[in-house]
Amino acid sequence: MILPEFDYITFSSLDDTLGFLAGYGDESKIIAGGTDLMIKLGHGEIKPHYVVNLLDIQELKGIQVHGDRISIGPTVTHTELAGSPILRKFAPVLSQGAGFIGSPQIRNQGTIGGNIGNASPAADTVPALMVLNSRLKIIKRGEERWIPLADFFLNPHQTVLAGDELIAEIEVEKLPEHTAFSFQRVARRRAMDIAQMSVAVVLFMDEKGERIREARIAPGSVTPRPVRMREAERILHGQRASDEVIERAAAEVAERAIDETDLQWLPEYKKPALRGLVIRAIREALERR
Amino acid sequence: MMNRLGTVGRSIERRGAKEAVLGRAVYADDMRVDGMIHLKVVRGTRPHALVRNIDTSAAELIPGVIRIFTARDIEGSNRYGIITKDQEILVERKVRYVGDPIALVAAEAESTAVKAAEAVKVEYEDLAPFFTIEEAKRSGEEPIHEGVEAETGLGILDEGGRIVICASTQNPHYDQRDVAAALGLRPDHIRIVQSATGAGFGGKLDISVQGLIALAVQYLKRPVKLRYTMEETMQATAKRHAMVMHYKTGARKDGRLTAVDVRFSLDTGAYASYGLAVLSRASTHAVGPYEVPHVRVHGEVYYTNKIWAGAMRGFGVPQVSFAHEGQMDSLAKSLGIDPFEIRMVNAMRPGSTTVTGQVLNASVGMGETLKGVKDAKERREGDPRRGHNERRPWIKSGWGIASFFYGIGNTGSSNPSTARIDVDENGQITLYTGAADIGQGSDTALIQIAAEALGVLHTHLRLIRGDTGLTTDAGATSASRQTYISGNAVKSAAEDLIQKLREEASGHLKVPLEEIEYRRGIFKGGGKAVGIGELANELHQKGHKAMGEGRFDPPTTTLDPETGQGIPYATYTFGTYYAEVQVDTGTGEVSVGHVIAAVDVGEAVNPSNVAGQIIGGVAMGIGYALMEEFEPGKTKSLADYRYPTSMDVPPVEVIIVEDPEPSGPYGAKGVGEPALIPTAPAIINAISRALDIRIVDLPAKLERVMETALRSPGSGGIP
Repeated sequence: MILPEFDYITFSSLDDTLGFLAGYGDESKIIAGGTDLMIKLGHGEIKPHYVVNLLDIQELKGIQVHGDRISIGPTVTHTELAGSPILRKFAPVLSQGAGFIGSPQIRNQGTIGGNIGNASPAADTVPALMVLNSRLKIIKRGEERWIPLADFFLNPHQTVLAGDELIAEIEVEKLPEHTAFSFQRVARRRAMDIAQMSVAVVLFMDEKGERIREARIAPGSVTPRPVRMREAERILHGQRASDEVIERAAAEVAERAIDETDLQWLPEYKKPALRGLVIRAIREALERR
Repeated sequence: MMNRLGTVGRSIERRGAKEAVLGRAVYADDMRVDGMIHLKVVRGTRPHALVRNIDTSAAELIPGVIRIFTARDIEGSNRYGIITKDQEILVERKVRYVGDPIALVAAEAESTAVKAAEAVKVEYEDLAPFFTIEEAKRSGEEPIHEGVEAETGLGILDEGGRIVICASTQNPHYDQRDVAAALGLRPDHIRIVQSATGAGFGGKLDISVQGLIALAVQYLKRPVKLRYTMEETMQATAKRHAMVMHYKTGARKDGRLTAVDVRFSLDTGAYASYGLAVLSRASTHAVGPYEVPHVRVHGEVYYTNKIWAGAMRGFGVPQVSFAHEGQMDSLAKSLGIDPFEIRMVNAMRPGSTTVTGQVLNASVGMGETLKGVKDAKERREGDPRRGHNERRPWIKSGWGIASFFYGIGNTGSSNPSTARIDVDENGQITLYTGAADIGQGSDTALIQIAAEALGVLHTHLRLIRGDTGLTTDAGATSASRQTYISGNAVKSAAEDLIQKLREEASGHLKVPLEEIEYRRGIFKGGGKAVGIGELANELHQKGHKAMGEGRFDPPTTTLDPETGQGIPYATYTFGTYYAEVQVDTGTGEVSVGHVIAAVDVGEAVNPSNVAGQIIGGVAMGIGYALMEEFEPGKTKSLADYRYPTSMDVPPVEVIIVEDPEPSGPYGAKGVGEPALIPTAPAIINAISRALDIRIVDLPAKLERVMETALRSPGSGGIP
């Protein structure tokens, strides 16, 4: 691979990094694991003057519990997400989603902040983050703001992040232990492949474990921006999980995804397949409760 | 057999395996020479167009650019092609697919070469392109009747003024001839040295970088390197032929085949390459390993404006076996006969006649492979670990089998191999072979055969291979031919060496020739003995060399152009594979759970290498069955072209059947391409059984399986 010429900038201080971006943000690209950025550089799709490394900044690492929320640093790798005892206990749907990404090498390298920032509709962490009601802390020199995850994305590979800004933190909901969940994914092969479709599901059951108190469903790789399937979720609310109800909710997800979507769709495949995948996800979640 | 050491038949470690695993194999891209010039190809961007003008002026001004070559710089024919010389090293007038080479940039740095290549301006006059066989037919143009290292090479000029090219290739001696002719040089002015070759599978039979490197060295007289990017490999090197096939099969109620009528068309893309040879091999294998009294095969090859199709593991047979094995299962289902039974009833056996009228006298292990697979399947059904999927009603399970045969060596044409073995004054024995080992293990197999024939330990042999300056022509590493054909040449070189040394021993021991006995490196006679080393040393003292030469050309005949009758191959490999699948009718996903693979290889020269070839063939076959699809213009890199990872490959139970081939070295045939062939048909038959509806296109990708599942009787796709 022949890379274009650029200056590689690396600070161990967050303030220095933000200071640099305040001056040169528009000519810079941020790098963490580089699993997406290096390909774009190699293909000449982007030609930044500066590539700014985040991996030496301590404040951007780590996973911590704060009350009923979990805070995740943007340079946490997919391997760390998949293996984190905190996430496996309190947000396992994210661990499962991250475990599907690429290969062990890519999971060792790629980060959650990069997966979000790259804004691919096929990002595997994003549907999981959507059902965890995640929000992002966006910072620039002297300023910070919080936004819901869904508001971060404008279009495929376009976000609200300005040149001088960074994702500083990802905050997710801490779920009660043993909450029913599933992350399901379809690709053309079992590793090293982008998802054709995915879906993350979380189900909160009533005390007797009979009826669904609350359902959260977010598909991946089928809509240009991440969405929660509110109508399908409502179909499940307060219901016993009969085949009929599950199929109705799944059909609703497939319908809704078509309305949301761009031209890349192959509805003759993806519509029935998304329905099949959602059924699989809900059933698996119920088996796990 | 008398006097056998048993080196043949043993799983000695494959030569080069450790280096490959440890990353120490030296590929062409690992080679560096001081002052090396870097090359980059300027490729056409139109599928079918006349090249009106090539403007290199801006590119030449870029600092570091040494020279930009076009077809005008080529003094020879500029033509190459494995059968039909219809390809140009650099195009003269017309581009025929997106990626045809137009110019070659030489620069001091690779990045400069890339930049300059982008700065070359080409003016085109577009012509109507045709992309499909149907469009080609309508155009009225005459049909012609006929892994994972990117291509890389390094060229230098040696002290004698000879152009030496180290390149990734399957075909060093052919490369030498074709490059010389295209550039107007004498063959002895070109030396091709095969570097470690990471995957070939047919794609490195055609020349790629070799002609361009030679052109640059010829003019610049400095070391040069050219390496294709993986994207260039995808865009501009040969692919498997797409085929459209129509089969009509007749049988009696008991399942006996009576007649098969086959019509097929091959899409050879922009150039002929091996198209005609693939056509004839597909024709001779069109009905599979079965006795069929009446057969008609009609095949056509079409040019289209796409990347050309060439040799690819199996050479047309994976395509036809997908068709004939689908037919066998459809027939079995219609007649209510078990898939094993219908194949057994029709299977070739000793005495059977093939579609070309060839009578098979020996080494027809077809029935044995069917029986081996059936027994293994039954053992497996008794295995309590096999679970059922009651919790997931949308998962449908199925199993399928497929059988095949494969003729070893080129179709109905002379394709000899030669070999040489010498012993130096210190007693070091060296085998010289032009056979390119591209990972399939010919280095190991040929050393084993030489060691066996000489009765010495394989560790005592040195090997020089794949170098036109040092070795003699062994023909291409293709057609699954090296073990059988080069193995025989090596064996006869060993026998020739022993015979010559026997004469020397007779003089040395002063014993008549017929009383000299040879065993394990020692000649004995009259109660005395002398070793190979000592005799070789004596010969050297006298100014002679201890050397044996061997040649083997398989006994075949040319096929009659009217009737197709003749003896296209001296011997055939047979086999049967079994595959279990689970089909998710909700999403179209297929997972292959288990494979049983039985192949009659005659004699396994190295059983673990044979098993390795079979497992590799299964892995590749899973890709062919389920995911690999090249769409010209759309498939640009390995990100768009999925082949299986280890996660997609299930356990493979290998059954090696050994029905010895009398004309083979120690009974051996070949396994390279055969190992791939029945995989996809077995998987497709399994999916078709699971869904109770037949899949007729490859690959059985998500969309296709989903669409089939939705049409599947009783399923509806969703539970």
